Amino acid sequence: MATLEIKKIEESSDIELQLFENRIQAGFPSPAQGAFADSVDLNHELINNPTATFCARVIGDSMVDSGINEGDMLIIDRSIEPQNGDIAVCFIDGDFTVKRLLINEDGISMVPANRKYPIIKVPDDSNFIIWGIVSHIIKKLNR
Amino acid sequence: MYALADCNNFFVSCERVFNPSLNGKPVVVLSGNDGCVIARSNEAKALGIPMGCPAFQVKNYTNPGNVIMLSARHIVYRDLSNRIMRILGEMALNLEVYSVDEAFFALPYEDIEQNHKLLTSLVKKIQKYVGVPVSIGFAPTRTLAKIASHVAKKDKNNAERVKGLTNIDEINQVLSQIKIDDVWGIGRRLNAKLLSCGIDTAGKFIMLPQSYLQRIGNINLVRTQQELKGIDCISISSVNIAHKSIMNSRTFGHVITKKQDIADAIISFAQSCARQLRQEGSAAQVVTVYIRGDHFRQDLPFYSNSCSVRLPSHSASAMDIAKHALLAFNNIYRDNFAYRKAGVMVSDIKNDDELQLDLFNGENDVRQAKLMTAIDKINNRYGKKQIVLAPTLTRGDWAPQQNHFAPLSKTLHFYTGMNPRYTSRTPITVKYENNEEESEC
Repeated sequence: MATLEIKKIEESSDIELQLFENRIQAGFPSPAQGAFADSVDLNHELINNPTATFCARVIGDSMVDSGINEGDMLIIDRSIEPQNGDIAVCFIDGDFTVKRLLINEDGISMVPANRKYPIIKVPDDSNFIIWGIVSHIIKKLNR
Repeated sequence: MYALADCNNFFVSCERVFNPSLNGKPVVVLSGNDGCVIARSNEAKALGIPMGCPAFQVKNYTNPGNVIMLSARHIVYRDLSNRIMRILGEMALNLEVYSVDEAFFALPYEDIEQNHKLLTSLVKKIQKYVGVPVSIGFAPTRTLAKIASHVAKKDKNNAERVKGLTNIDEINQVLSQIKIDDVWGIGRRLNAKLLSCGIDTAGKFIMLPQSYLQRIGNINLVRTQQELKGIDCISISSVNIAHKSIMNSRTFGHVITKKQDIADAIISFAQSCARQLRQEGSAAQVVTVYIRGDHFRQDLPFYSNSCSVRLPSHSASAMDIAKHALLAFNNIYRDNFAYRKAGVMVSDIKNDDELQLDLFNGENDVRQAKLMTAIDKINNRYGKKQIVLAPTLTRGDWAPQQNHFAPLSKTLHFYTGMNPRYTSRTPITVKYENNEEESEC
C-alpha cells in the first residue's frame, strides 16, 4: 500500500511581479525592452481553477525527457478532461505515477519520457485512476 | 426550495482522495490522540463498528489488520471542505455552512426537474474536482432537505446521489420510515422522551398535537414539526448564530506533572480561542479553565477542577484571554497530582457590532486589536505558529499522540491546505461545531 504525504502550502495572492512587455528572446538582451507593462500574480498565472488544483513534488526520473525532474513541483488540475497526449497523475497498482497518456481505440497506455522505462498498457480490469492532469511544472533552475 | 449537501463519510473520503488504495476497504479515522473512531467507511459500518468506538476495541469487531485505522488530519479535511463549500457557493443562493461536511442553500429554480439537474451536475463536479462523494437532498424546508439527503445517501440504487422530497404523498411515505432520532433538531433527551411514548418515527411525530409538543419540549420542537409538514420556519439567522461558547481542550499524550507544561498548554488553548473569536468577528467576556487527572490510573490520586474568570470588558485579544486563563489556572492548580486533560472555554460571546467601546479601556483595546490583526496577517501568510505568546514557543510535552499516519508515496508528495483566502473567495458563513477533537485544526 502506498499513499501520499500531504503538507500544508501557504499561498498568498498579494505578491505581484512586474511583467515585461516584450517576450524574452534568447538572443541579445536589449535594455530598452524592459518596459514594465503589467503585473503578474503567480497564483492567477498557475492556477486556473483553485477548487480543483493540487500541488505535488516529483520523485523519480521516468519523465526527464519531457522536462520533469525529481524535485519539480507539479500543478495538477483535476477539472481538465483527459485527452490523448496529456501528462497525467495516475494511480495504478497501489501508487501514484506521472506519465503521458496515449488514448486510442485500443484503450489507454501510460508513456514514460525516459528510455529506461517501458510503455505500460493499462489492463482493462486494473484499478486505474486518472487522478488529474498536470497543467504546469515549477522548476528551480539554480540548484 | 432548500437543499442540503452532505459529504459521505467525509474524513474517510478525504483520506481516499490521496490514497485510492483505501477504496473498497474498511477504514476508520481516529480522533486526536488516536482515542476513538470519528469516521467510518461503509465497509467499516458493515462490520458493525460503532461511531465513537474506542480504538482498542475495534479489534472486537473483526480480525486485527482487517480494518485500516488512520489518525485524523484535520488540516487536509478543512482544505477539501473549503473547496467543496466554494464550489457550492459559486452556484447556491445563501450558502449556510453548517459543519465541516454539510451546507444548506436555497435553490435558484421553481421547477423541480431543473433543480434536480443542477444538483446532479454539482455532485458530479465535486466528485471530479475534489474527489469526495457528496449526497444532496432538496425539499420545501431545511428539515425535510436533511431527511432527503439522508434518503439519497442510504439508497444504493440512486447513483445520482440526489433526492428531492417535494410531493406530499411521498413525503408522508418517507417520514413513516424515518426514525425519530434521524430528524434534525431531535436530540438525545427528546428522542428518549418521544420513544417512551411510542413515537418512534417522524410519521408518528407529525401527528402529535402542538399543545403536547409545547409541554414536552419548547417552541423549537413545534418548529421542527412544522418544518416536517413543509412549512418553512427556521430562519437563516437562527441557523447562523454565533458561537455561544468556544472550547479548546485536549487529552495529553501522557500524564503531566509539571505546572509549567500545563500552563503552556493553557496559553496555547487560550490563543486558539482568541483566534477563533477574531475569525468570526466576535469577542468574549468569560474565560473558563479546567484541568483533570486520569480516571484510568488507579495508582494516582485523582483531582479535577475548573474556574471561570470575568474579563473587565469583552475581548478577542490573545493576551487578555491568556492572562485571565492563567489567573483561573493558578486558582485551581494543585501540586502533587498528575494531569491528563486540560481545556479553555470562552463564553458570553458577542459580535463586534454589538459591542460598545469600553470607556476606560478604549485606547488600549484599539491598540491591541491592531496588534492582533497584524499577528493574524503574519500567521496567515507564514503558518499558524509563526507568532505566538512567549511561553508557547515550543510544542510541549502535551502534544497529542498520533501514530496512524499512512506511509508516504514513493513517487509523489502531495501538498494541500491552500490558503482559505484563495480557495474561498465567495463570502460564506462558517459555523463549526467545536468538539474537542477538531479544535486545533
